Amino acid sequence: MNNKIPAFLLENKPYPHSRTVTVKTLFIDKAVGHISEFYETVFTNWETARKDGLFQRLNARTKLLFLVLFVFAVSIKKDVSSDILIAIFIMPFVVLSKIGILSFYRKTLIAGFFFGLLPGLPAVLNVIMPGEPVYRVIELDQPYELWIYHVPQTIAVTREGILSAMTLTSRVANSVSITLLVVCTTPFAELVKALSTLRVPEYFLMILSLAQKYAFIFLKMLADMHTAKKARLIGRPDAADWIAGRLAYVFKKTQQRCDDVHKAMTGRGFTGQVKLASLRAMTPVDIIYGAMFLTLWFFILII
Amino acid sequence: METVLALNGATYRYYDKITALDGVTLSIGSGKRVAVIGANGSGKSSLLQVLAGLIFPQSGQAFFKGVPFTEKSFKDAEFLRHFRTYVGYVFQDSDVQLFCPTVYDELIFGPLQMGMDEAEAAGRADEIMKMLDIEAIRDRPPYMLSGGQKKKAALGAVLTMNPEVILLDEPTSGLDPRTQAFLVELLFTLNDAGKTIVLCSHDLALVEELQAETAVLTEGHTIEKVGSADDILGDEDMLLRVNLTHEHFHRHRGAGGTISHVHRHAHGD
Repeated sequence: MNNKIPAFLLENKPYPHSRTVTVKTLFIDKAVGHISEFYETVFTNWETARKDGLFQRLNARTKLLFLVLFVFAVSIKKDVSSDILIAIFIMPFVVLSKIGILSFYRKTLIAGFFFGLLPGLPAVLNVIMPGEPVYRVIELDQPYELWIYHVPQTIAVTREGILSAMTLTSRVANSVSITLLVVCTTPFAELVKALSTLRVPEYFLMILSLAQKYAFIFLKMLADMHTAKKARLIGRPDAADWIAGRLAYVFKKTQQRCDDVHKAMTGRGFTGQVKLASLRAMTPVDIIYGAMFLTLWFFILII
Repeated sequence: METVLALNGATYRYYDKITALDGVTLSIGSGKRVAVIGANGSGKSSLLQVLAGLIFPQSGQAFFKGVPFTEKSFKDAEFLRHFRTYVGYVFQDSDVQLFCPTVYDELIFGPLQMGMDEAEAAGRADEIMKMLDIEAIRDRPPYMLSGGQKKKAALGAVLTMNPEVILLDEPTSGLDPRTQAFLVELLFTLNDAGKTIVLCSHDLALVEELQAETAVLTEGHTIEKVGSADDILGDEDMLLRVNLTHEHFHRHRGAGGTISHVHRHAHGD
């Protein structure tokens, strides 16, 4: 082999003592940072799901029953007291399942704030929902008719409005906490298998597992490509062009991977009908907890 | 000795344009250790996939136990079941092969598709995990495994089907020396147990270690030579011709002064 090194490879570059120029963080760097955070979250969830806690020991079917029953109960109950009762009922399970309680309730409250309180906030005013005023906000010179809304002369916060916003917030927070409790204590694979109890076809479950797995692989590929590019980058790149090019590349890779995975499945006997390993059998403890959830559900519905 | 898999003048072209195999004739005897070697892009993986009935030659024939098989043969449920149980294929990229949610699901997938009772399949999975020392990662998703663990899981996923012929595409590629040694030992054990081992690689050290019957593919996608490992590895001119070795300039400095000369070198991964 003829190893003639070009002259430029032999040049030494002195460190330039010029003025410091701050390079701005691009949105793409932030996006890749979020990908890393996502990995971390998934890994943390996986670790939590393997702890020796109360919910972790339960069969995924029992947890799925809990999820369906209580999200249903939360959605049909229209009073704050029921929501508070459900929240109190969930808390011991969170503690006994050894989930980081602060992080758990932080996530729950953030979701409650963004998806419950913020959308429900306008309803506290008597412009949206008439009711008994408890706090006067503004006094107008006369009432107005604005599209479908009647704007009264005195715009005020109403008791009914506050209750309505509180109900919406608590419903969202409760639904999120129930879902988080199940998701954090159940490995994704078991959760997917438990869906077969709800008569979800095995095809769909297989696709769900494949999608989850390959989303990881392709996200990692994108993060690696970005890191490789960053290692050779000086100055501001044209991020839009790069993203478009990489998306096309990942799309092509996805197609190739799809063919290869199909070959791998065929090689192991896949003929078009999927047979998946079933979930572990229900134990008496799982059945007792299932019965307890059902009883409490009835109790919450009738009060 | 029975011939389990064979090709007669097999030609395969990707998208009907890019030639991967050009008139390849090869036979694999039962219970043998066979290595297919060749430079990058010579068609090693394609050859293995044709033998595994995953792709089908446009011309020429592929045989399973003396009976020619085509894509149509796999429409016959009995043939399909027999062939897939008999011939196992381990992909080079383990991420392709590991498509189930956990290692355990991966190991049990093949036997379940073959119609095996789940308890029996679970028993097999447990034994294979013990043999490959992967019990600790039983419930782990494949994307949380190291390269070596992925390779073991991929191999385990094939072994639970108890194939008589195991085809391995670049089995030691990207593995650390300890995992490579484990794999080579395992291949010997499986071969001693009567399994036919067919692998493709460009790692000549692996071929020497396995003392496999070796077929050499050229960059023109044809078979250059078939022989014993010693016979093939001893034919330096042929190895140079098919680009598996290259000439390397060296300068040694010692007590007797500086000696410059040209070596022939082979490189693994």
